[in-house]
Amino acid sequence: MIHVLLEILQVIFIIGVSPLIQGIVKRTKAILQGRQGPSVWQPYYDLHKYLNKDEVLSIHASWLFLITPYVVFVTMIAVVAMIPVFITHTLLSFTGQLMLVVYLFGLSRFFTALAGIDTGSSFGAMGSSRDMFVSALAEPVLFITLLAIALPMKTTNLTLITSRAVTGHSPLLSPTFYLAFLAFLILVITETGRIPIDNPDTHLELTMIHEGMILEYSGKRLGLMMWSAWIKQAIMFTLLLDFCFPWGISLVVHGSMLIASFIMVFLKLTVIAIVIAFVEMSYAKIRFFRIPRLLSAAFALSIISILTNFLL
Amino acid sequence: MIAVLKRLWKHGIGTIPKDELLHVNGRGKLLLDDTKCTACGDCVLECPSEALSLRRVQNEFDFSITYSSCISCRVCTEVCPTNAFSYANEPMPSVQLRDELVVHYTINRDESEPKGEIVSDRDRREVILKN
Amino acid sequence: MKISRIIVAPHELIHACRTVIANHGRFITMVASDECGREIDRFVVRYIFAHDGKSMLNVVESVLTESNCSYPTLSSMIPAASWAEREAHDLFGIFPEGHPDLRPLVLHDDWPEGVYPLRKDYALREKQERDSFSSWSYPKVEGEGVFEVPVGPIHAGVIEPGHFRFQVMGDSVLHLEAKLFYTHRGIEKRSEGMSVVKGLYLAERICGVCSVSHALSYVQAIEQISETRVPERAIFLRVLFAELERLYNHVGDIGNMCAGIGYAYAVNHGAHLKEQLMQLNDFIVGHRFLRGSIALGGVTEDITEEKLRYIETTLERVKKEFNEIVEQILSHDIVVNRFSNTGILSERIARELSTVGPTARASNYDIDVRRDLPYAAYDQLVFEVPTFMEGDVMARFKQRFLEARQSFQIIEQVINRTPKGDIRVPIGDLIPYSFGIGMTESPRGENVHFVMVGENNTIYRYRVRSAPYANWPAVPICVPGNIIPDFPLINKSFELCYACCDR
Repeated sequence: MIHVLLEILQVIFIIGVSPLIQGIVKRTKAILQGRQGPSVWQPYYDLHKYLNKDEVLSIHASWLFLITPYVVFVTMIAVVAMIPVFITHTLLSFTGQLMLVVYLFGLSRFFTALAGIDTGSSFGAMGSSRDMFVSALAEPVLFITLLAIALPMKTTNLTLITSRAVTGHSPLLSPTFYLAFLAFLILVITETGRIPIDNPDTHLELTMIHEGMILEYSGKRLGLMMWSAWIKQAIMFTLLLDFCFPWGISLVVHGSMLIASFIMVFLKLTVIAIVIAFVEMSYAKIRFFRIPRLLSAAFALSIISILTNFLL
Repeated sequence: MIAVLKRLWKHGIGTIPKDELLHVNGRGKLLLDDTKCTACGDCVLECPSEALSLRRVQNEFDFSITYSSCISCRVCTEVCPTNAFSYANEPMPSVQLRDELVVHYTINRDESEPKGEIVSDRDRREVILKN
Repeated sequence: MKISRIIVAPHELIHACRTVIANHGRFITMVASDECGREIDRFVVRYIFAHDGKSMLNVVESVLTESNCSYPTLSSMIPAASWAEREAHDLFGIFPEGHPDLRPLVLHDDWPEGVYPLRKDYALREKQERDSFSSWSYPKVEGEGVFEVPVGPIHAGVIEPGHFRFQVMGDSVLHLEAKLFYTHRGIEKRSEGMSVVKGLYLAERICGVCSVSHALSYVQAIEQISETRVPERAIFLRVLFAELERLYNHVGDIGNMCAGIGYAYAVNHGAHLKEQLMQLNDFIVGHRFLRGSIALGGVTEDITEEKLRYIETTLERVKKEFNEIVEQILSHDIVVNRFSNTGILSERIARELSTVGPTARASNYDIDVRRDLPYAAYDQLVFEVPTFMEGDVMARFKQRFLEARQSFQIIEQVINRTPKGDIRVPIGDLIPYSFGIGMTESPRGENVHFVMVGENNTIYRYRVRSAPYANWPAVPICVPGNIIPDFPLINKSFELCYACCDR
């Protein structure tokens, strides 16, 4: 019983804390730019504003456009239910979970892209076509990278991967770890739509990728789309933590252990958010047709990681 | 990344202290020297933002400056034949109500030939000149 | 500056202009005017050419009668004249025979035919019923996989209105058609009959960020008519204001160009520096955009010794930071990769379209009004005019950097060399129906103001050829061959105003 409660708490934690992570990233970026920036709570205010606002819908919008935000949001919640945050147990746990995570991301992306085209706006279609281009490259790479991580753990069940990562000896000694970590970091940036792949803060409609697809949304649905994007970001960060820095995730349900792991996870998420902000600030957007090169670097890294796993 | 950090370390965050917020020097507040003014009305005709008006009240003239409309463009200073305008070294006043931003001057010129009423405002673009 | 006029019959225009060009005349603009008020029947077209280095302008004039208001086009000989001739066609209804592209330019397609707003018999506040059914015609690219992307005139960011049609294949641009002139404010029509004193304030507000340059062009045109000799101190102070304006523009633009590639770090540090310069402007003349600093016959405000020292110390600080930032931007490999070979403007096109300013100089078209047709005190100051060969975004970026460095130097010289004395002289009465042409180098290139005065010191005809007006035709030419996400970057590297082109 207590397990289920904690597992639900885990889901609520990620959903609830995801705007804060976005806030931390934004605030850090602002400070690095020499600005004071908005408070870390700003995404919550934004969300509150969006959810209470009236919507403007394109006359060309079909049911697809209307349901997409809900599909995306529910998909993200489903993924959250599968990843360990501060205990290794999750609401859903089975072999092959890792594959499902990749394809749930694929599902949300598919719907977002369709919604982008649905309104007949040129920017939406442009965003969709670019996003499809990027994801066609990113998806196999994400797959291989997850495989590279799963391979040493000898399972594709996230609960088992995390518990083995926590109990096993420090992964810091193995080159497999570093290679997979780098590959995964590139993917985290790609999947969260950050610089150097995409610019989440841009107002230049001609350069948008993810923002282009959701350009036609407003009000509640925009709020849901944004929130889903933040949750996805939180998921990617948590996965990175689970695989590479699993220290502190508690295996057993025990009061003080839980509190400690809770604090640890929160701190680790903050650190990751700050690191991502640093990466974003030190790079500019790369040329669109150079994205494949970056992703092929990630691909190569994960392939080498898999090889070293067999060789060493 | 190192360069980013180095710069941050060196220059810090560019912030304006709270008490200096909204502190804009600008050109200052427009003032009229009513001893110099001859109520000729040239400035009222030229003012691009209808900030000035001149009305005849019996034997005197009522000259008013609406600060909410004034854009500190200097046209009045340029056209004034007697150099009656100046800018005070204090910020342009700002209050909540538009009417509070109007300053009235009473001009009593015996020697000047009263031209009549010269009003230039948003509702009446045409300038009324009557004897 | 000397103006020599050549008056010819309409059919001799081409021949006369060809002779002027053969004598190294550089085409600047064409001004049409309706001069029925002074007993001329009725339109006059004036082609203005500059003789760089000789401080001389050539004006080729021709009178067109109302019954036969057509003249042979010069656009086939001088491509740069195309826009000016189209504009005259829209606004005056005079017809350039044989013009290759006479689509409406300044007035959009919904404007009724046969109504010409700049003719003298058209009242200032006359309203027109718009014909909303007529549509814009433009060349189209056809074929499988070719799409059209309309952008604007309302953009996602808070920028000026302009409509762009991209014909694309995937993300590669095949053709770009730009439709501007959405912000026509009727400055030319409004100015007619306005006193020359008030006209200055109108001129200052043509552009948000080139106020000094526009004001200076205007006062120079008026001073040319009245043959005023501006006091020494005033011309040095004019240089000071003009260079301060160039500086805050270039510093801001350098940061802004990085916005096109999402390099927010540089954008904000650039904005920070620009803000410091604008606060300096506010401190010295009481206006962040330096408006109200230039007066007819001089400058409005004297800059005290104390203020000059303050400028010196502030600029010293800004210069150091500016160098640091630019060094950091240029050592960033992604920035270099995205800037290089993007949006190349070839020297040939730069010359044929008579582009001006940093844009022209970055394409190795070495023109600069400050050096070639010196005004204010520029002939007494030492400075260099940098140029680049490449003509890409990187060249325009470096061009701005080097020009800003020159500006720092010029201001330093001005601070140390400004003589004592008067700052202003009265301009006196102006001879009716004489015209003057003022040219200055704004941060975006040369601003040319043609002012013809009427009776009682009023403006009779006022035409502004701002720098963006000359440079805009070059933008759609550089874009094909690049990809759509690069367009904002290319556009920012030109950094053209919409409003100051549209007037």
